[in-house]
Amino acid sequence: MRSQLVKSVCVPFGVLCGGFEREILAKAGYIAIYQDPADLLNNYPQFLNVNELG
Amino acid sequence: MIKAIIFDLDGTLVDSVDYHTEAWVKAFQKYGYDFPSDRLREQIGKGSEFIIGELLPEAEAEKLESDIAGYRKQYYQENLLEKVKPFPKVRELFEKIKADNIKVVLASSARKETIEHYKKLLDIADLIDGATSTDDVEQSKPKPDIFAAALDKLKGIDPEEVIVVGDSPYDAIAASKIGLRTIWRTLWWF
Repeated sequence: MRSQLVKSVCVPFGVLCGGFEREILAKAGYIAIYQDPADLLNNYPQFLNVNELG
Repeated sequence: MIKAIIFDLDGTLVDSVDYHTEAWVKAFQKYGYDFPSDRLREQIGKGSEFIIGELLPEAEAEKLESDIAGYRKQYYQENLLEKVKPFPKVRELFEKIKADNIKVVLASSARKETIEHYKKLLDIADLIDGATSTDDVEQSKPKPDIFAAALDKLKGIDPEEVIVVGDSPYDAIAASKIGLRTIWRTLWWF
């Protein structure tokens, strides 16, 4: 059951532009943290390979 | 393989967290509570019911929740919403995502009318495949309902094929609970 649980959740990405500290976001479970939408654009499409992040 | 990306709005696509903080400070002040901005800022991203529930004793929260939340909403809509600026490059980002046949859905603790305003502000109305607001669900973030409702609009796509982008701890917490719902359903059927 446990592995099924882990596999069936969404992949959370954080952005820092809302003002929360990086440490707080990392602790909350974000697997990747970017600065803002422009940073996501700069890292597109690499960030779609979520298995290589982390 | 990623098939959809769900985006939070406030603090993620639009620069509104300071304005939300200001509206909460004013709303609590109106009803006699003086909370420092920092204390309220760290709450932004949760639904109103959870913010008020965390900051006030239970009996007072129950009594004043709809008044404080109502005043906050009105203050934000009338005085602050027009000041909110979009973060740069959102349309360009969404165009790239859409060009790869990946769906884009908005999922916010905001009201439907606020989301409509932001869609225009960001010039993205023609690029999104759906939007879920707090009006569509019973419980706001950090409960998973908003993301789960967004996921329901993405028929045939599994949670692990979806990236959720958010700016607050509450988005990550909500996202991490979606799978639990799925498992509970499975167990129930079993």
